[in-house]
Amino acid sequence: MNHKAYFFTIDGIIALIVLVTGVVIIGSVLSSQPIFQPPYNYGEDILRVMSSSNISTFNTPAKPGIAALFTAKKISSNRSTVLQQVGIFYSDYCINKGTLIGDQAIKDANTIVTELIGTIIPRPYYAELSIIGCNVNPDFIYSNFASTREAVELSKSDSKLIMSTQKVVFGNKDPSTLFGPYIARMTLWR
Amino acid sequence: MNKKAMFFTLMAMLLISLFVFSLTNPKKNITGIEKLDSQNTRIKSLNDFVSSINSIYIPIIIQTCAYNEFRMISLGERTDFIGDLTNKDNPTNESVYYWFDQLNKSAAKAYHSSVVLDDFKIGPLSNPLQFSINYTVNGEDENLFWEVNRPNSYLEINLEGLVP
Repeated sequence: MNHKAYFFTIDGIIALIVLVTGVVIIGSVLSSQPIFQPPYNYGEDILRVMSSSNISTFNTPAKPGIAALFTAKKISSNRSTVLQQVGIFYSDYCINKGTLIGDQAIKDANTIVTELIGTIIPRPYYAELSIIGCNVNPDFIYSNFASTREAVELSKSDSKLIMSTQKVVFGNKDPSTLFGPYIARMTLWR
Repeated sequence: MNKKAMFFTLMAMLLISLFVFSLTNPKKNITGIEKLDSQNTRIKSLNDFVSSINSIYIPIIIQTCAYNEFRMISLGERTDFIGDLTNKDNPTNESVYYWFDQLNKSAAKAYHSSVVLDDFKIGPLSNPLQFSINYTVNGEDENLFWEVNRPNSYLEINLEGLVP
């Protein structure tokens, strides 16, 4: 083989080694930044906390909306979990659908969820809680994106990543009455 | 320039480029670990559901249905449990079978699983109430199921507010 062939081959290899070294160094600097990982388990974790925490533990001045519901005696069962209490309000909505009482029940459910998860969803993620129960379509309870279902649905339709998780909601309204079972659906998107 | 030199230079560039590309681009297809994660999540969700049935749903169903039976007895409308609680053939909303059927419908929507109450019996009229229950939860996968058998269990019925 011609000597020039060796020369150009080795020259090419050396040039590429320099380039690769540069790429590796830059890559190592970039990889020292936090690795982006979608919060696959946020919805699951939030629903688990809501279904295992007693509503009465949030009857504190730090949660004025929930405390006001206790003061107004809208929350009567200290034994219910947060998700069960949301279910009780949803049950009231189902019984009084289309009336002011029904609308107020949904607002009360929204108050609980807003105070509990309103600030813990990190941007750029948004969350929505809906309940599937007495209507064909899920009933909108809460979202940290917008207060109307239409705006939320529009945002979700433009989303690149949607994660959804569901949990059964079932419990007592009083010693002689059961409500549900309903399905609580937590959707996260960005 | 020599043609061979050009050839070897391009070959070296190609080989090193392929090496760098293979290092910097991880595989996009689902790996075994990701598959395992999704399976684990499914098992975890169903496990939570079965735990909820055991520790929350069964007590509140029996508590509420039995409370209503005791209330009728306290009001003099009945003298004993007449079998509403254990009515399997025509279950009303006073029957444990009715509420398990409702749970089954919700489980199908929420977890793509089924809940079947195989057997439910209660002991003589007393408080705490003696009961035995046997039910199955089946996941989508035929290998994913829970068979729960609780013989001779007792549950204290809260009779607060009833006429003694």
